[in-house]
Amino acid sequence: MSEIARKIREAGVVGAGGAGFPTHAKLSTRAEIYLANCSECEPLLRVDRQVVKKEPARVIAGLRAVMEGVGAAQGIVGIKAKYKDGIEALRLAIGDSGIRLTEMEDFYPAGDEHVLTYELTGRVIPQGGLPLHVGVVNNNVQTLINVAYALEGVPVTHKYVTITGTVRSPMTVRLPIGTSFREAVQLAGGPTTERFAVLDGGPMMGRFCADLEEPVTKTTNGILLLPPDNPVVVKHESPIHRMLQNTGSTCHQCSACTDYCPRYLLGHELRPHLVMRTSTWAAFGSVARGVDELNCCECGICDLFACPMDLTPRRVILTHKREMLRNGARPTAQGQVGVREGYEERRIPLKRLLARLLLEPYDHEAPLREVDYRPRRVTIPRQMHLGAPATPVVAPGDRVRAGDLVAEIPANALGARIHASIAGRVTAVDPRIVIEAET
Amino acid sequence: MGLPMRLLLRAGELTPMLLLLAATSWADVTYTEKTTEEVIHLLTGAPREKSVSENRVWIKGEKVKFVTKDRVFVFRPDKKLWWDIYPEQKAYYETTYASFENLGAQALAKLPALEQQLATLPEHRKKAFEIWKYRLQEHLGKVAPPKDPTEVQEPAEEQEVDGAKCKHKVVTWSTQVLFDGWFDPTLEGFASLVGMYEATRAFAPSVLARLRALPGFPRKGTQTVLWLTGDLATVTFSYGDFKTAPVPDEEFELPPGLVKK
Repeated sequence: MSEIARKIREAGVVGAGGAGFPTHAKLSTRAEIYLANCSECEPLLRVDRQVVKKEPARVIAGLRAVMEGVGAAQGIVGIKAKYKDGIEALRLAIGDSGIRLTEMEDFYPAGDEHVLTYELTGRVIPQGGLPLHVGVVNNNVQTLINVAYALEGVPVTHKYVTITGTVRSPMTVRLPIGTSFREAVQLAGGPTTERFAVLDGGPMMGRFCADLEEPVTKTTNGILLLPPDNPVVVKHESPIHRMLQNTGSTCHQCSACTDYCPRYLLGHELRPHLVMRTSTWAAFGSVARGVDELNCCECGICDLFACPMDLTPRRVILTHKREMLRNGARPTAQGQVGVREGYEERRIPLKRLLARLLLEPYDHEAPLREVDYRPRRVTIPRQMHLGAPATPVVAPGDRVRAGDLVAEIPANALGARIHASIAGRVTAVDPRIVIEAET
Repeated sequence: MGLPMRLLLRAGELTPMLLLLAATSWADVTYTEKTTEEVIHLLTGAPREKSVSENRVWIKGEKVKFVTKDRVFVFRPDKKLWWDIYPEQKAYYETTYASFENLGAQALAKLPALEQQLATLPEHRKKAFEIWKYRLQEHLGKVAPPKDPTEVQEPAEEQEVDGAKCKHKVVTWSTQVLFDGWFDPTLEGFASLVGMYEATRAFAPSVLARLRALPGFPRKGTQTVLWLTGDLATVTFSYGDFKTAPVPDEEFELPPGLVKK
């Protein structure tokens, strides 16, 4: 392992943009191009555009480090053209380093790694494949900031989060990992409605949470509160059996779900309307359908934007996908495919998406606030990343300082280390590490 | 394609194609049709000129074959079915008229549950759903309009299209213009494919009846459809590369090596 990768591993850096892939593991390979992702396509989230303005030098320092780590000759920052301030700050930080900055249009899902790779390099990742199959590695800009800190010996203990939706003062803040959503929402002035749904992330791909007791993790980009009658919430709360029944009776195979599917448009063999058809016309549960649900990136365009009948292709696909995975199916890279005709005009402008989902009233600025928030208690999940849960190296009763290692990567496993985000006494380690601040 | 609401909702892409085919059903014919994909414009705001679909069409008697970007549709009224073929996947789907009717009946049975689920939709979408519901019931013979809302207007206008003198005809449904076309009266056969529209419920029954009665067939025009987002989409269509050579029967058979899904 290179010195750069070792430092990144020690600091517990994982992909901050979504899945939480341990960053040091990405550096175990070689690639031609390293992409810095500042497309932030989830509606309502305001993190990436603001952190690049605040810490442009660290974004570029992080990018240069990971480029060196994989031997990449090219570094490209992909950023939406509308983030003018961020672009200006990044251009200054880039200087004459040779790193390229590419301005992107404002569409969804610009941040999907297949879409991003195509938009920034013109290379099409084969279906079932990874960016690496076309010589590319990518990271979110927050991840690159964490990489820069890791090289300075600073572990990942905090996360930038946008708190928005039905809250009084939408904002973006840097919070200690393990801070409860409840405290975060209070920071933003509290909810404006008595009843609301809570999402960890944005409306398209965010995870619905049972309540506000969820903690901020290394991958939390947004805490979004939405009213119960918002279409995103209504659709989520419809039982899957009802959605399947509705599919059986009202899917008329207009194929809009396929026509706007970003993976289909990139040439993949994923046709949501055929999955719907199978669910309509054949016994549900068969995996022998000849369509490849494993290629679905779960972006939600099919059910939250495209379907005129308010059906849920994504949920139907996910049901199939889980079943296929249980039966041992795994995505495999299948040849080079070509971008389909109509790709460009079928990209979904963010404004259209906001209008379709009745989210315009919540399209707030959510400015970055310099708040040194110190929670009384943090609850840190041992798995905030892809791979194995981290093994605690502390026990209840132990005192820790902010930044101390509290959980280690299990031997011979993919994973990420975890560090204390506040100083205090450990009160639990299983299933989550709980630290209470001492007065 | 082939299923009712696809035709109903996406007539912008498909129905003009069907209409054009209708006129040439008396003789074998192939041609290329171009339509603006209005739904793309509607959903994403992409400029109309950037979203034009071009399909090749084959007709022999009642049989029809469409070749789109990545799919092939073969209509076989003689077998009371149609095939939806995916050459890339080497697969096809078969829809019989009977199974289609059954789906409609199922949808009708589930309307109360659907209405409950859709209760939270915005008003304009609720209205669109109401229209869809009405049309479904109408097709299944469950409701009949108190007064036929379809009208055909024939302004005394002529225009030369591809060297042919064409007459202007406008079909409206409840005052909404659905079809505005320039018909070549020297061509016949439009009515021969109305049966296919009926099978696929491409139009309301009253509209089908009017279309069946129109002489000639349109060489260019516009078509307006209701997208279930509650928006109206007006599509422009035209065709070219017209050939009247005999089309072999094999064109309307399933290519070998396909797997039925």
